[in-house]
Amino acid sequence: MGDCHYLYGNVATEKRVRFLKKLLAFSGIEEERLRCKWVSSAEASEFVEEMQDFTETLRALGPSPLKQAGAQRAA
Amino acid sequence: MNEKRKEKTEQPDDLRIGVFICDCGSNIAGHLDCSAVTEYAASLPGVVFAKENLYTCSEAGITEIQKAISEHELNRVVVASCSPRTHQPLFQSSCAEAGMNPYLFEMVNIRDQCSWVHMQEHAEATEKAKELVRMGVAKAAFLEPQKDIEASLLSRVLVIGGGVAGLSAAEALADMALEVILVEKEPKAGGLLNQINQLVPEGVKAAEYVERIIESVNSKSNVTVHLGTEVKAIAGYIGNYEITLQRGEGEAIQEKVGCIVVATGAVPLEPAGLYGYDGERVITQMQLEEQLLNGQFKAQRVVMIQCAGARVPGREYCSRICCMIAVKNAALIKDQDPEAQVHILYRDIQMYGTEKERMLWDARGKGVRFDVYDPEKPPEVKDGQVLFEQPIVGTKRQIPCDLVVLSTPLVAREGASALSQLLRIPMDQNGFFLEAHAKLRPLDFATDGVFLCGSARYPATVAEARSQGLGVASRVATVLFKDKLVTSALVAEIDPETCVGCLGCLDMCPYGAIEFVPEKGICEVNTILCKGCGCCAATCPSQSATLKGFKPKQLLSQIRAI
Amino acid sequence: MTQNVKKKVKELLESGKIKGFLGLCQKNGHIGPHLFCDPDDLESMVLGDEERPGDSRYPLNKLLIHIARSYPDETFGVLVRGCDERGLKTLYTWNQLNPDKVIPVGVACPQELADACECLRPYPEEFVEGERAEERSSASVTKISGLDVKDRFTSWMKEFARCIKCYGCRDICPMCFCNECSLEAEELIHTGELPPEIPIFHLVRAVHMAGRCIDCGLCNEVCPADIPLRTLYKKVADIIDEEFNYRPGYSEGKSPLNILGSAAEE
Ligand SMILES: Cc1cc2nc3c(=O)[nH]c(=O)nc-3n(C[C@H](O)[C@H](O)[C@H](O)COP(=O)(O)OP(=O)(O)OC[C@H]3O[C@@H](n4cnc5c(N)ncnc54)[C@H](O)[C@@H]3O)c2cc1C
Ligand code: SF4
Ligand code: SF4
Repeated sequence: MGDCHYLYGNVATEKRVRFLKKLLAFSGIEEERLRCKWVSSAEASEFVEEMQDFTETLRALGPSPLKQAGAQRAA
Repeated sequence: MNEKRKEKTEQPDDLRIGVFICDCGSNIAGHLDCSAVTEYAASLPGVVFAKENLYTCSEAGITEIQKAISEHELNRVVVASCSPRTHQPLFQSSCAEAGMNPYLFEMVNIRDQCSWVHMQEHAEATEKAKELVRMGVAKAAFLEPQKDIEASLLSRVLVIGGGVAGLSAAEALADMALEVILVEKEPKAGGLLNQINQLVPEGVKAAEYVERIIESVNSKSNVTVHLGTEVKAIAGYIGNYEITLQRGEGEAIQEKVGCIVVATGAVPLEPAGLYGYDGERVITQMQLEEQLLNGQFKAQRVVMIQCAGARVPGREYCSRICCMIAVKNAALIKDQDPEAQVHILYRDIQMYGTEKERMLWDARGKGVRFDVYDPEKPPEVKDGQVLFEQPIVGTKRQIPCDLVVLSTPLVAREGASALSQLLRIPMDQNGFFLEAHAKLRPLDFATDGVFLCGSARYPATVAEARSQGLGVASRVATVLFKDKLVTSALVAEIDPETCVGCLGCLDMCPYGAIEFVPEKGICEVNTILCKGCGCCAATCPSQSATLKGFKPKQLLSQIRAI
Repeated sequence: MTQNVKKKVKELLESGKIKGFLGLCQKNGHIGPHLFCDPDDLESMVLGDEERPGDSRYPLNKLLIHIARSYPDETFGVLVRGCDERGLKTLYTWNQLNPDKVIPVGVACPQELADACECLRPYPEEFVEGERAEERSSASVTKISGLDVKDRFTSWMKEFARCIKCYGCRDICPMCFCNECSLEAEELIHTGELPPEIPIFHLVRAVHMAGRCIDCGLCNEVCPADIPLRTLYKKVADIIDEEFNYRPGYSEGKSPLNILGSAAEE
């Protein structure tokens, strides 16, 4: 944090993400579907781990309820 | 997708997109099927020309882009190759040469993001490259031509701080015929070198060394030196700063400059409460320098303790130069009196570079003793002795001594945070100023037109401070030796028709680029100050603030192409 | 029971302190907003019910924005309940009204209304009419929070499915002061098309309410499909309060989402 190329952009992002996670949860969309992490370009292994972990999380959660809603709409 | 939807996302008419896929020798083509990607690109909507190149950035590749622009009347160019950070400017200017607006260029990185990260997965890498190309093409369709922003430049420079770094910058800038205003808050220029005895590896008296530079600076007619003066206020932006200087209680001085150099240095830590520091029997390296300089130094048995107040919780960094200073002074003491005993207690020795490495071995040869201590069990200073435990073997040692010298780190100056606010430049957690990028832009601040050198950034040796000062002069030259300032057009804009003047964006801009205009009741962007971060665009509730080149339409078309 | 308000308004108008007073009047049996400019013509003034601060409510401060824009140099009085006062305060921070040009005249809401609104503060700081009702916390939010995440989604989708995309919630909202609305931005929303894209349409609006919604509940009241929007936005306000210790209309200053925040201040 604070190491943003644009000074404080990530501070702003972090606030929004904190809000959005809770809003999603209240709307019935698992908040784990949104993740925000800071990984610098020098931290390749952290990035890979993070992505693999996120993929696993999403797989375990199954398809997004939004997708199902969209499918119903189209039908 | 229903009919109406299609209509809305439909691409603008008269699109003539050219796509160039780079093999990068075998760097890309070795790990994915560039021909397949090219074939695929040709099939995308709006694309009228697609070509695979061995090296798109080579003379031949560039000629091909330019030829295609004229032969196929291209009005968008997409290059799928390496990192836009390094190559985008080249491709953009080549497009401009061929008569296409450079902002209609889009770049896709299929090297880092495909051939490198998916080296073993030929088929998947190829598929991903196709996706990325499709996204690039989708965005390119909605790109808009832009005009670079131009502004005037004042060929004058303000240098804040008259230490060796600031003086070196001033000297070099003056030699390039730029007008320099040097501001030093003390009554005398020279910085820390005024208090230091002898310099290594230069082997000259510090005062003489810096005096030569001061004289040289003073002799130049295009340098104005303000001693005992500080900067009170700064307004404006790159090319056009308005500065208010204040000398003591005197009248304020107004100056106008195009660039600003920060060279405010650092100070050695005053080790209150550490190792029984009393300024007499337990002193700092700086105090030792003074004793050596005045010929007051008399001690026979000296112990130096390294990392005093450095690399500890709350001040984690290594000050880099203290080992060199200790070794320098230890060797000097030995030179004066070969019978004197000098012991250096250290955690790690930081003697980087061949010159310092040699100094270390010379000092050992002269009989300076070195011992490691364990930071968990730091030495104790008691009754004319220094007690410490040798790590690994665990032997407890006592060294009798009549002088203890603490090697304390350089720390940020008190006024640093005030200056940081004045100039809107960031500091790191230790209070040193923070450069724009440690590797790519080490002498620049993220704020355009402001540069830094010397210990203000991080503890530096004289040679480093001087070369950074010279480096800064050349960075300033790259800005001020142009007729006018040309900056990227990819900045924020606020639609005066829709802005409701809610000030939602105002405090979000990290660069202070947004201003409320009461007469119009709306906010406006200062396009020179704006760095195009997009914070305002993300906040504006009425979508009035947008970032050129990253408008919702452009980004969403790219995202929807996934 | 409108006497106190009438007296106060008469005073203000006669002394020339205000150019007009934006309140409610009853005409032909209907209650609606009215700008009273003549101190001797306050007969028709009501407080939202014939006799007392009742449940006919209008976004008076939203109307005031437009009046103030047309007469930037004049000062106006305005009738405020607890929520209206929160609205004014928030509109000041968003630079949509000038506090020096607004004189609020307060009334307190009756308990029934406070109950129905689940209002955290059913009265303004100062009021000349009505009695201070008890504060209520939000049972509707607690109820939804208690559901399992899947049921929460289903229940919201059931509510949103009734939306006829009339934009009533936005049009009545005193905090919706934008000229250009994201709910009509082609890139985000399928405009001119029914049924609306749910839940995106409603979630986009919910995001825009963050740090803005002062919980007046007019959206809920105006919605012809009876979608419990107020509950959604109550939660939005709760989140901002939990995370950033800020509640629009109650806290001072700008929304945390509109200032750079901690790191920048250091
Ligand atoms: C004990 C000791 C021994 C050393 N020995 C050696 C050695 O042998 N060899 C070697 O290479 N290096 C040595 N150094 C390091 C050397 O001192 C630094 O490299 C050098 O001082 C860095 O120069 P500078 O210009 O960056 O900063 P400084 O020398 O700190 O100069 C900064 C100047 O800016 C001025 N200033 C600060 N703030 C403001 C403001 N707001 N407005 C106006 N003016 C301001 C200050 O008054 C000062 O004059 C030693 C350091 C110490 C502490
Ligand atoms: S894009 Fe960033 S720098 Fe430019 S005006 Fe907006 S917030 Fe400021
Ligand atoms: S946030 Fe948008 S509407 Fe508000 S002042 Fe800024 S540009 Fe104007």
